[in-house]
Amino acid sequence: MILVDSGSCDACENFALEAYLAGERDLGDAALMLWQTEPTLMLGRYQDARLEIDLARAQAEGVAVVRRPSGGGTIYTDRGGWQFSVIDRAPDAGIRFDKYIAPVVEALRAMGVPAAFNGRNDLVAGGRKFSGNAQYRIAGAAVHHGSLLFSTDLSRMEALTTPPREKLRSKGIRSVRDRVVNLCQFMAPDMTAEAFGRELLLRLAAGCAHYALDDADRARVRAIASQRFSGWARVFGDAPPFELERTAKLAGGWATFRLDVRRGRIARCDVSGDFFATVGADAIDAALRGCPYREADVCDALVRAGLDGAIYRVGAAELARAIVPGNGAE
Amino acid sequence: MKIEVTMPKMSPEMRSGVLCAWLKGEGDRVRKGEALFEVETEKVVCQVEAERDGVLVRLLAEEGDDMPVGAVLAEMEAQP
Repeated sequence: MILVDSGSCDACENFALEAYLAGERDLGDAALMLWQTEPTLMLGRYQDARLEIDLARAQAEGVAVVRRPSGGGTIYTDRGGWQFSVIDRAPDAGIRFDKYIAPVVEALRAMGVPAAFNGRNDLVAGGRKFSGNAQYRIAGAAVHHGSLLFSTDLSRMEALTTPPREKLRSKGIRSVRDRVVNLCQFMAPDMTAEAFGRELLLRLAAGCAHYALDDADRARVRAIASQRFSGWARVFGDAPPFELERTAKLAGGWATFRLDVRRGRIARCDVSGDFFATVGADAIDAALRGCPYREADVCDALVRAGLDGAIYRVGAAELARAIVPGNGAE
Repeated sequence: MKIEVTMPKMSPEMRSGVLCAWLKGEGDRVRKGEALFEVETEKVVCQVEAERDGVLVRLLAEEGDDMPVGAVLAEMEAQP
């Protein structure tokens, strides 16, 4: 095993380093990373942000929203926790979690935590979860990553992962809410998250070689982060298809929008209601097909199609706000 | 020769998988080893590769579908 330090608390840069080590830079042995993030919400690969996250709150509080390439549900991470990753260039043919998790359980037990693997994907202590684990596989490599709650702000986690209700139907994977616990409860009261990470690393990486990224590695990792992990298109464009119904009170009456959104773009927008308009609902549908489901893009598309003001006393900006819920991460 | 692309069994416990994304479309020429689709099961996302060279003729499952192991997801015209 070779220890690699990303030197970054940006989740996208750490995902990019995993991808780089899995697909481009073979170190000749499995790689281990132990990393932290600034406050971040990580969606699973096939989840809908609108169903999992209070996006307006995340934006107001400056919490990053990103999509993991691995499966499972949404987690909240901050500097009170740690993530571990194993990049295995010679994985078993079938899916396995135990071989990546066992060294972590062993290290934590040696540190006094009554840690146990629940037999599926999680680590628990005293019956409560402190670590979720997920994987992805590309040609010839498996990437396993797990979270570790040490002193994470659990009330903030709860608030940020409780979105406002929308009439939204998605085929995506839904998160499962578990009873969680911070590992600091099992440690000496003066132990900090930093000290916990240092001690865990000493145990996990005992006897490991250390690979230091050079400038070329770092440049490539930053490029992968920006191309494959950052931005609106990753969070919303890579989402499962969904159907959404929104009703809004406009100046001239009520309007209901039934939307079909695929890969982040509007595939259909049925409009009905008792508003006054100079155009048929078909014109709105035609203007919006193929448009990214994002307030600014919807507004631009309406203006381009000459629909600014086509509904009585309703400008394009107001109509766009009615069609797209106030969405912080956009 | 027509061959069927099926949902693989990636662990002894796996019963089904969610088709997250087609990475190739109908009519696309694919080479053995190229990633065809992405599937999620039990918190693992796998890119599944083509086992033969050929042309992807017909997609029989949609993104978002939860498909049982062994279900036919697409038809390919294999090239000798």
